[in-house]
Amino acid sequence: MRVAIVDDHVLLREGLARLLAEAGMQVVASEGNTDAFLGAVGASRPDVAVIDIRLPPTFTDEGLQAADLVRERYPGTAVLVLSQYLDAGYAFRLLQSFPSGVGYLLKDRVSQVAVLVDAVQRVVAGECVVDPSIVSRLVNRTGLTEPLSVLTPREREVLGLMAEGRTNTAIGEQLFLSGRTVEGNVRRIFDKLGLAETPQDNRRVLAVLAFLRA
Amino acid sequence: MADIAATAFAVAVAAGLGVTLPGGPASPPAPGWHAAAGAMLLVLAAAVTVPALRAAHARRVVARVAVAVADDPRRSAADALRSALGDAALRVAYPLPDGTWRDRQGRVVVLPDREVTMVTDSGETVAALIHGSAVRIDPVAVTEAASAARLLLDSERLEAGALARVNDLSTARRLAVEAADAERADLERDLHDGAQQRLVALRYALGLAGAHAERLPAPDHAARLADADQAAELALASLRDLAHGISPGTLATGGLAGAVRTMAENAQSAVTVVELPAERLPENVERTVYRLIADFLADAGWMPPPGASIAVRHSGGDIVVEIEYERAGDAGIPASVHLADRVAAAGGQLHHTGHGDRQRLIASLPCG
Repeated sequence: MRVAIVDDHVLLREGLARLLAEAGMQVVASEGNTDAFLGAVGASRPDVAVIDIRLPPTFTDEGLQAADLVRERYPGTAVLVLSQYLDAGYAFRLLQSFPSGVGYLLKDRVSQVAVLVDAVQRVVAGECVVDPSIVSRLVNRTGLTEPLSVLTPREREVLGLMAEGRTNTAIGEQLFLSGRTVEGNVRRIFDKLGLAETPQDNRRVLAVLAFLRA
Repeated sequence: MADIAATAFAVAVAAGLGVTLPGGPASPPAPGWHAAAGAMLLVLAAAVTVPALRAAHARRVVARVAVAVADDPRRSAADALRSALGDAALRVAYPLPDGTWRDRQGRVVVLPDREVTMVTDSGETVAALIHGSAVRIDPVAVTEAASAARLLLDSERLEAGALARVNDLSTARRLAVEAADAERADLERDLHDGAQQRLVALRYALGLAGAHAERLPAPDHAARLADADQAAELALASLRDLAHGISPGTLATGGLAGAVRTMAENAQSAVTVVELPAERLPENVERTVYRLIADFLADAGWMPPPGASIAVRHSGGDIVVEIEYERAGDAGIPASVHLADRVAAAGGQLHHTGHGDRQRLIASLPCG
């Protein structure tokens, strides 16, 4: 697996590069600003780009813009956006532009090699990855107690995992359920919440996140 | 104060004019006066025609000032002088003890180098008339008009002084709030670039060490590293909350719509966002609205269901923030002074109304 990194802090670029190497990945580019990074991605065409959301010059959402540009120009490169703060709005924006092969995670979430490997593999496989703490915060909002009370505890778990971008197979593995049982749960969730269709694959992440944020 | 002075002035001038204007109803000419005066005038005419015409012009100007003020006692000195002197662009500035020049509303005026007539009284400057550049200035008429408007100029100078102090205080308050906001942003940036990044790097290092330890036959090491990592994680989480609370980065990028929604999503009580302007607002308005809501949520603490509902909407030229909330029986009313202060610093007003436990906080802010 070939990876490109952009983060304006050299300390973090190095730390991340070591973690990626530990996970058996090859860091082909490591840059401190968007322009140099986009150039490097164009030249090396990595499998995945790991992008810090706060980059020069304004340190606001340059990382999200860079993520969009990478997905637009180099469809073969998946994108993992890392952020110091979690913001459901940013995650939503990222998924809305390109609802496949993108992820949004808390910056230090990937300090565990297993989590890092899982996230990289999923985005490279075209899945979406949404930080679990965004999802649990949204699901546990007091304002949502009412609309979510129609779901069984099991259905809530499935809903949360769907919002994190997990596939039915992954949900089944995590909850020790058969593929058919997961499908049944997903269908019932969409019915109960009044979400007419059960969109396949990645689009359902958007649908679920939109419902949770509404 | 200005009104009384203006009326008093109008009466005074009108009474004076009654006896000084020839042919006026207050002083009917005696029979025979015409012949004598006519001869006298003929003799003097050649010598005095030009000054006399000037004097007559000045008197007409004085009369016009008087009439202008009498017509509408609330009229400003500048307005009265404008119509009297036929100078639509004329402005009046007043000197204050602090050395600045101010208009009637107390706003700072910079005097131009030319086209200024100083109005003095016993050697002391009481006002400056700033003439429009297109007008030919008749110094006699201007002097006469200014002295006719003296009472009005005096009262406006006092008014300007009082309003200037009010303006200066509001400016100072606004600047203080802006400086505090800028400091918050700097502090957040320092935390983000400093302690937070170092802690993330520490977690990366611990994660790496943990991965190495797992491969070695020393499970004890892995457990200790996991403990250290957990400590770093907690430190990072609390620092993150602190930094984000100090100054949200989301406000600068997403504007109010994004930032308020995120805030509602993270609130400890149910918060319903009813309405938010989708478009960007002036920076100080966005910041004031955001901090108002953030401070309110922090002050309110936990609110019983249905919690709070928040609406931000345009109303005329204002932005109105309406927060309706349920107050826990024993909880105080949040608010208060620092919320009101922040709103006032942005030139707005804050009202709090409530029946029982259902409370409503309404802030209107000038926008634009």
